[in-house]
Amino acid sequence: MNSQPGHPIVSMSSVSKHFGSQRVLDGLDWQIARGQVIGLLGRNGAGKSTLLECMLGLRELDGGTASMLGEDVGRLSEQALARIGYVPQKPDLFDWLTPLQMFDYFKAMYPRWNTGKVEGLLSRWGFDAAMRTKQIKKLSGGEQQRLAIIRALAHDPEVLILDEPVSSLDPVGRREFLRELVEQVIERGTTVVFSTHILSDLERVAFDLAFLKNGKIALQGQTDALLEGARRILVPASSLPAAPLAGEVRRHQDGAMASVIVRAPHPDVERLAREPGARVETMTLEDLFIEVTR
Amino acid sequence: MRVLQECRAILRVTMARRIDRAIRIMGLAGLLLTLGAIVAAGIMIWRHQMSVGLGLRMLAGVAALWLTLAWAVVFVPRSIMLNSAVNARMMPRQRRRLMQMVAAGWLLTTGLFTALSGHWALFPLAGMLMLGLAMTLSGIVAGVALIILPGNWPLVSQRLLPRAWVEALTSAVALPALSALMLLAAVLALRRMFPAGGDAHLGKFSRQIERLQHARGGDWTKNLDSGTVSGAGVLRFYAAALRRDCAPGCHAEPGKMLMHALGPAANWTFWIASVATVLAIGIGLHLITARYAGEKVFASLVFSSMGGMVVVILMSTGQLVRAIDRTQGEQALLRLAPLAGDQRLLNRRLATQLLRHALLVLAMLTAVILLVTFLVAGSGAGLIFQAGLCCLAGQVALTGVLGNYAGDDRRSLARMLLAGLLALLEAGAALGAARLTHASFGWWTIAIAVVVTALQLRRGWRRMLAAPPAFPARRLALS
Repeated sequence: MNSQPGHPIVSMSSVSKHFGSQRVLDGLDWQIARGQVIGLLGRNGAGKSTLLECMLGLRELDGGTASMLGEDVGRLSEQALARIGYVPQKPDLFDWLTPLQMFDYFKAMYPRWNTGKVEGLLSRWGFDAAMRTKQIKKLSGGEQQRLAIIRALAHDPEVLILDEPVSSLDPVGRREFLRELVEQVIERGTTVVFSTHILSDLERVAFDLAFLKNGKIALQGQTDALLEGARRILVPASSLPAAPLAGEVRRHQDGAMASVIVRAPHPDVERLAREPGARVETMTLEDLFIEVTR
Repeated sequence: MRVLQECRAILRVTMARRIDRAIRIMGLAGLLLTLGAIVAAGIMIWRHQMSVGLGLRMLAGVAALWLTLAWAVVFVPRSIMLNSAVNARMMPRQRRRLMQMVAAGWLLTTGLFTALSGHWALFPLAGMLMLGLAMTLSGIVAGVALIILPGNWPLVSQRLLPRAWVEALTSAVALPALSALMLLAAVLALRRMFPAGGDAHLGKFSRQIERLQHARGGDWTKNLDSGTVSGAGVLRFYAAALRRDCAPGCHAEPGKMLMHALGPAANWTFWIASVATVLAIGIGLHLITARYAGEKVFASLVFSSMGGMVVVILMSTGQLVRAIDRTQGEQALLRLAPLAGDQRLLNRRLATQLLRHALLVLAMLTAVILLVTFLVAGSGAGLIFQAGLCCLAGQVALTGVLGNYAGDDRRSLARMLLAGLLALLEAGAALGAARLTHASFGWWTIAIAVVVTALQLRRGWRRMLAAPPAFPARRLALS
């Protein structure tokens, strides 16, 4: 087992996964360091859930290797499993049970279970006595999602994998969840991989962003650096050199004008900005998402 | 013209859609039976054992049966889904048209069956049967009550009711009164099946709609999980079993916890209601036949119930396989729990638990069925025959469990059909052996089925352990 400080907590190398003729992950390389809080972005069907499932060993890899906490994900030990928390995309699991029954079930499955944390979260998130004994199936989508989050946090995991954990939550619920995530999880040094489409949430909590496109991590960097440094340069196509610019993410031509996305300002950008008819724009996370994943 | 257009549009929406898997399987079985009936009728007419008129009437009966199935199994449930909460309020004319078409189908099928039987006195009974069938298939459980009397009319009229009563009920005087009663029941049933407003629809019939949706997916056990089909009581037993397995201070057993991830349908408590029902029916039959009928009725009761009882065993593992398919998300969470152990160990535990559960259920159901047979028929040859049938059915049921859960099991239906064929061959072999040795057919069936099942289990067990890790199930399949 090699989960010492300094070593990546998640390491994926040349990972491939296909469903029939559809290649979802295509030689993907990705490393996640201890304590990193990383937001995984990608369009619908880009393979985010598949990537997270492969990372956890829930899906067989067609090629490549993946390890978590220094262990092959196909053979995670009990000690490693006890340190992983996971919120799947589909929250309505174990829906024949009541919340209390479900927590009793999982409590029996984990060597360490923070009953106080479960109780505290249930109370803070509005689960009164009646709701705790109601079948999960009969709870709303948001309530089911809250239960899934509590279940994932209850054993104080060191690695937390969240697959669109707030898609069913209202803004208040999302804010409560994010507060919990920051105060109880991130500040404890937990490594978090967070897949979502709600970009404002990512801006609040994710220190790093990774964009999945065509089965690979197309762009990864610190959130602040990307937001401060990313530029869209609109320039006459004739002024644009054929070779890629430093930090170039994407370029496309529309008539006589070309648009280039770069991840950080660079002398090349400054030179292009001085060209007649050129324009340099800062980018929001949404702009970046659209440009990178287009 | 407009009425015709609306009817055509409704028919197109309800009947011309892709049929569901459960209906496809039923249709295939029905088609095979129909072809068999046509061939048998042809042979009998050719050998002058049946008149052409009777043969044609039989074929008309088969056609009427298909029409009834299309109406009750496909049209009525889909027309109810069409009358959604929004449609019920926004398109009242559509609701009226749906009700008219369902009523027309009901009158047509009732009239056809009455005409084919040649006894107009049976009109109310046929109507009640069709109405009960439509209500039951529409997710209204009370419809079963309407099926019981006409479904058992030959027995009731010949054995249980005094002859004077039967004559009074089927007389020309009673016919209009009973028909009027039946029409009144039909009107009430239609209003219940097609509620007028959105609120009524949502408030009173959400469970009915839920049952219909699950039935469309061929997944009736989901009803139990959601507590809709008398599931609340069974879930209480399940909750007690879960509480015991997860009790604080008690060392949780990985195998048992693994089975909990498959839901209540994979727990022995799932069978409590079924076992209690079969036992109650057995005791009821014992009391009724002993009170009202002579010894002769025992034999006919036993033989008519044998098929039904064996079907329970045949279907016993189906819910287990469906539970595995349905709970892949739950299995993923369990896969990540420390108690699950590594994949090889988990695979072994899954195989062990599934086989243990299937064998336990088969043994329990066999014991109950034999007890009921004993209650009704005593300890004669019928009991041994029933035991033989149970062994054969158990063997077929086990085939459904012995699979590779890692991949997409598209050949399960073919495997089940082959298992059924093998069981028929074994029955043939048992018959031959019984004739040669002048021993009981039942004993030979038991002996052959037990040996074949043991061999099958040994082979299946090895295959399951050699298969890729199978938890969560179907993880190698297309998703």
